[in-house]
Amino acid sequence: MSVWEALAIQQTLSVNEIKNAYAKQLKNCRPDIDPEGFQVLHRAYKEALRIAHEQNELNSKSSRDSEQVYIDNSKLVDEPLKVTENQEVEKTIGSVAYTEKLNQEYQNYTRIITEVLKNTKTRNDISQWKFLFKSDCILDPQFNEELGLFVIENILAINNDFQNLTRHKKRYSLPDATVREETVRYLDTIFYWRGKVQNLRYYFGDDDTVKILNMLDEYDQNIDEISAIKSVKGGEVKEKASQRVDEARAFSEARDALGELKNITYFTHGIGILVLLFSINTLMEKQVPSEIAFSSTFFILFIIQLVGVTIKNRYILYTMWPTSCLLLFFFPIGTFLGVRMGLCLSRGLKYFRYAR
Amino acid sequence: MAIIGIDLGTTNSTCCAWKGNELLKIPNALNSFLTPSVVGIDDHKTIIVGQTAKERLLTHPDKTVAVFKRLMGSDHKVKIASNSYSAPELSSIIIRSLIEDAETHLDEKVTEAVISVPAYFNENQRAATKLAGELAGVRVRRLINEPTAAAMAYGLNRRQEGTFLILDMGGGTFDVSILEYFSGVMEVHASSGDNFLGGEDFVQAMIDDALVKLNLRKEELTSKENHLLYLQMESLKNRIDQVDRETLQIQVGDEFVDFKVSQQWFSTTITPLLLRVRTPIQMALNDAGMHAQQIDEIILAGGATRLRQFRSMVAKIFGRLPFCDIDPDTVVGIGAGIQAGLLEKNRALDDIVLTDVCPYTLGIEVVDENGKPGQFLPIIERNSIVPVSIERRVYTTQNDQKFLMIKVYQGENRLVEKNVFLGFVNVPVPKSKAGIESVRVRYSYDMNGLLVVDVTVESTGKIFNKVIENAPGMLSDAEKQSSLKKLEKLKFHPRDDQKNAQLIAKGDRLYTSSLGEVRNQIAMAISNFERVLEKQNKVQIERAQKEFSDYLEELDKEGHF
Repeated sequence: MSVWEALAIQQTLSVNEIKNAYAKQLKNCRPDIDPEGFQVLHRAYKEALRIAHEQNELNSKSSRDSEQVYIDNSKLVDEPLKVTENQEVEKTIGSVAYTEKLNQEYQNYTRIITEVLKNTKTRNDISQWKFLFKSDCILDPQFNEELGLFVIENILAINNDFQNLTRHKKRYSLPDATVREETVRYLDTIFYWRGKVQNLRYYFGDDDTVKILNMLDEYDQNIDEISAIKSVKGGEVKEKASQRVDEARAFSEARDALGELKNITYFTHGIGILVLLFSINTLMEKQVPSEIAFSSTFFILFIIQLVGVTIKNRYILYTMWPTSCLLLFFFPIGTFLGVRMGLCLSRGLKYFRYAR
Repeated sequence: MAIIGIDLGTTNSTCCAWKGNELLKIPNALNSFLTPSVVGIDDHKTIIVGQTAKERLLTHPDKTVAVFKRLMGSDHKVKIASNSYSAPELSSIIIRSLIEDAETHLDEKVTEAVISVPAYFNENQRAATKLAGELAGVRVRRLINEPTAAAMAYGLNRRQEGTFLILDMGGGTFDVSILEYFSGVMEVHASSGDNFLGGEDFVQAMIDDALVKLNLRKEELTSKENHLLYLQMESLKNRIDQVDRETLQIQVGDEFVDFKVSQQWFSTTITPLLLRVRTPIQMALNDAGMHAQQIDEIILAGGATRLRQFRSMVAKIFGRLPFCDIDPDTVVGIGAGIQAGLLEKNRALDDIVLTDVCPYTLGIEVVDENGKPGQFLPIIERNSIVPVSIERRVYTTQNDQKFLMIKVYQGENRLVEKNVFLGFVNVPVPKSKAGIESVRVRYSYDMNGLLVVDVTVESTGKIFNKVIENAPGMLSDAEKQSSLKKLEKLKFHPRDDQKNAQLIAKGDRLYTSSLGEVRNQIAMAISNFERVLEKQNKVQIERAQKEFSDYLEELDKEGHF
């Protein structure tokens, strides 16, 4: 059955005719009563529309200079002027004062954005970005788009700079050296880059666009589920068999605890240095045999490193590096002494016994 | 024997029916078209629904529950008083009370219903809605998408042909649909949405911001104080256009903290939420292959679209004002009522045919060429017109494979773990070499937006359509029966008494939220009213009702709660 047979009309390019035929046929095969017949009919209808649109476009291209098309165009231009049902909106949106205000805000915003991004402390702090909502300019589609491009351009610059660093520098740089994925994802809720892929391609090229999209390619259903539970008023929500929610909650708790972890870092670092100072001090005063001082220092530093590795806390590992250097220095002596460690310890115990 | 149309909303529910040649909006026992979607249990262990329950949210938060629509399609249960209820059970209580209203008003038995769901509801949520209807004792003839229902209401009202974009923002969900109306055909081109964006989120954003500014944490406030804050913010949101600057007094422990609010503050707070509106709009336009200029009219539905800020956002996107001349709170209910009339083959409506789309991509989990599991193979693409039925063939991947596990997913990501899991069918296949045995998976998506999966084993010709086990929130037949029994046992508050119960609950709420001298006055008024009720004199009760209700109304306005 051809497309036109299904619609029960002659081949035509008139969109209206096709629509009317479809409407007429549809009465005979309603989607809820005759699903198969409906599917055939609907496919025919879409195909007919496609053919008609294609042909009409070709025809209008070949007769682009004809008078009729010209008149049509002028109609299109006139129409927006006629639809001034609400003059208030038209006035505020199109007016010179409005454009001026937008320009001014744009200057203002770009200045603040540059500042926030420059500072490693503020760039990943979501509360620092709240200034974006201060004025309703952000709701203006064009303003939003331009500002979004400005922001993503700067973020790319920062992250690309970081990518170009040597491996060594990357390893020991601060955690906020880049703009993190969470931040980009948050900003995407404001600027909606995901929906403007073509635009991004045009301005930044394929490589950078892929980079941006990779950062955005995370969608977490758990967040939806948690907000669903949070929004229930009254009663007491019992969470049944939902491991995922638990995991998500553990994750957010871990994120909160990250701030505390930083303090642990300073703490361990401090202990390492204290131990070193103490052992040097005892060595100088020669109160204990040097083997004991060296091997116990070595031992304590080793334990701290081990703790860092086992709880996978990179802060301990990163900031322990000055002590780690010293550890390397002690290492040959340490191994040499380590062989005799048992002996040293027993001798140490003896020493304490004698002292008493 | 009547079919009614039900709008089961996050905050409010309505119901409509088609009688004779016109549409009837059905009022509830309190003579209002809107029934708040709140369920509670009172001191006599009877169930209370609607406004009365809503008033008791503040005074009895442990015995009342609201905004449970968001738990639809999940496994969570809510504990009120001593029993636990799932979201479909709570919804069924609301539906039951709506049906009761309809039966009183229409004076005939209601056996079937059309229930509206957000267009962007997934399979699990739709199935849960259908279940809610069944638990309430009606046959659910059709689930209709909310924006489509709104469009039907407008299409019928104005009979204007063209392409429309419908924005439906209710209490909890935001939907966008693009549809075309011509010569009696209403064709939906595309739907999109956000299941977690609505009026409730605006209030939540206000509360969160206030707490941050006041340096408080939610846990530091008692549940009563939290709810009081919620009421203050909700009322502020509803009258924000009349507010310029104002100072709210927020109760923390025994003290009151001042919190300055203004329109500017409100706009700033809700801007992040308003920005989320663009995503679904853009997606719907892309899927329909249209530009914003090709839309003839923008139509608003849902209570949250009343916000001036929302309207001006829409005006900025499209460069013109949206259209809204039917009450946005009831327009979806009206549409559902029209659909009910269509199903009854009502002659006045005979000339409309509705076609809809499925908003999500549906597919199965497969292993890709490199042997990597967890890949998503789409079978029905999103925004295909429904009903639709499509078949794909899949092969075994291991030698001597005994079973083929067909896992059904819904979503747009290429990895199944980021999509919504709907269930699985385990199909035995004859032993053979990898890639020799195959099955045909057929997905059929019906007018209700409910999915049926048929799996045919190629070599044996056996068909498996034992559909979807293990979907979250689904019940087996035995569970359904026990759930029905549990609900049957519930006693409902007597209908005639509802007005009085609501007034007393409101009085209690006002008593809790005020202080000092006013408090004593309220207590006095309540006890006077109760004394009149005891006398059981109809005339006196009616007069006292009027007086008491006016008095409370006056207080409510002054107190801004």
